Amino acid sequence: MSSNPACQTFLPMLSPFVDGELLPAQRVEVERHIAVCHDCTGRVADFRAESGLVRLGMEMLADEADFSQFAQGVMARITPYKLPLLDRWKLSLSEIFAHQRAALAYALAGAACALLVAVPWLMRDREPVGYASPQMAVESVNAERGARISPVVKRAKDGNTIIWLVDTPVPAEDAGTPGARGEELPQGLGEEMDEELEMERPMGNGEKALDPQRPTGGEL
Amino acid sequence: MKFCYGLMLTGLLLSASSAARAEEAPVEVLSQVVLASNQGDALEPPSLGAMKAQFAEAGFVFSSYRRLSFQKLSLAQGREVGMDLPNGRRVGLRLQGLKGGTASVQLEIPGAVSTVVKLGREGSVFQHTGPHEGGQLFLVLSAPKNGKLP
Repeated sequence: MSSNPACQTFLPMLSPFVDGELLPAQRVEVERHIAVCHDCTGRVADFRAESGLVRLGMEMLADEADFSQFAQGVMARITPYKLPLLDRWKLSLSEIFAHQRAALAYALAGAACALLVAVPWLMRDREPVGYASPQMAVESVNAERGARISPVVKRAKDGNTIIWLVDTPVPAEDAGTPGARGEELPQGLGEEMDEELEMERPMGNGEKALDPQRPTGGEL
Repeated sequence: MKFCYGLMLTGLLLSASSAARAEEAPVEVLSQVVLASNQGDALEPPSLGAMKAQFAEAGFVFSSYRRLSFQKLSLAQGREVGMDLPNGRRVGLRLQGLKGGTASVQLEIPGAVSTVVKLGREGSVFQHTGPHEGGQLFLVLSAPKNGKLP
């Protein structure tokens, strides 16, 4: 124990003084006392040495522990608070509009360009392959060699075309041959139709009319 | 802007490749076999009323039209698609080529006639194929319209 009665007042304040826990006024008083008291100066030095030793010991203990997975372990134990879907959307949108306006503008421009290209492309694909022409058209009709028929083409409106196969007259020498006349005109189609069909008979390349005995058809 | 140019270029390349594919893609055509006769006044299905009107306008008067078969044919170049008709005849269909997006199809009835048709979105070709059961048989070629019957 100290023989100096003032030391009894300052003794409880020495440890807080070393730890920096005193008020400025108290600190000034302790410093004045230490300056004149040899015993308290030694006590303060002891406190400082003890504090240093404790800190060194704690650091050695900390060095031995493995903290590499500490942060992950702590985060794994924390259950994240999940916002409702609507709130998450609002939050995401607000963040996008606040911080990523340029990226958003680029994305919209890109999407518009993609639509400009994709829509005509998809529309074009709806048209079946091979149907670029607006209407059907018969390009040529040719009777096969030896066939006793004459193709008659009647073009109707809206791209419709009727191709009728008319039997040609059988030559006199073949008249008695069974099967020489392969087809018959339908009943109800009389002479009137025959006359009309005759006018519609296809013309060959440069030909004036088809040979009724040997119809061969031709380019229309 | 570079991003937009890139997208547009990609689109153009896609269009070009699809056009190239279209040249190789099969051409589809709807074919119907219709029996026209003067026995009864049936119209089966009623959509054949349009065919009846067309025929009447052209001077071919039949009172009954019955569809015997209907199918969508897929034609590819160098491959003939054959169809057996109810009257015993056989019809061969062959894709001759595609020019400017328009397909030319050859329709051949062996021993009778060979017809070349340029396909179009509207209209039909009514090819007479001979008599059958007291009437006349027709092969009708039309454009496929979303799979619906013409």
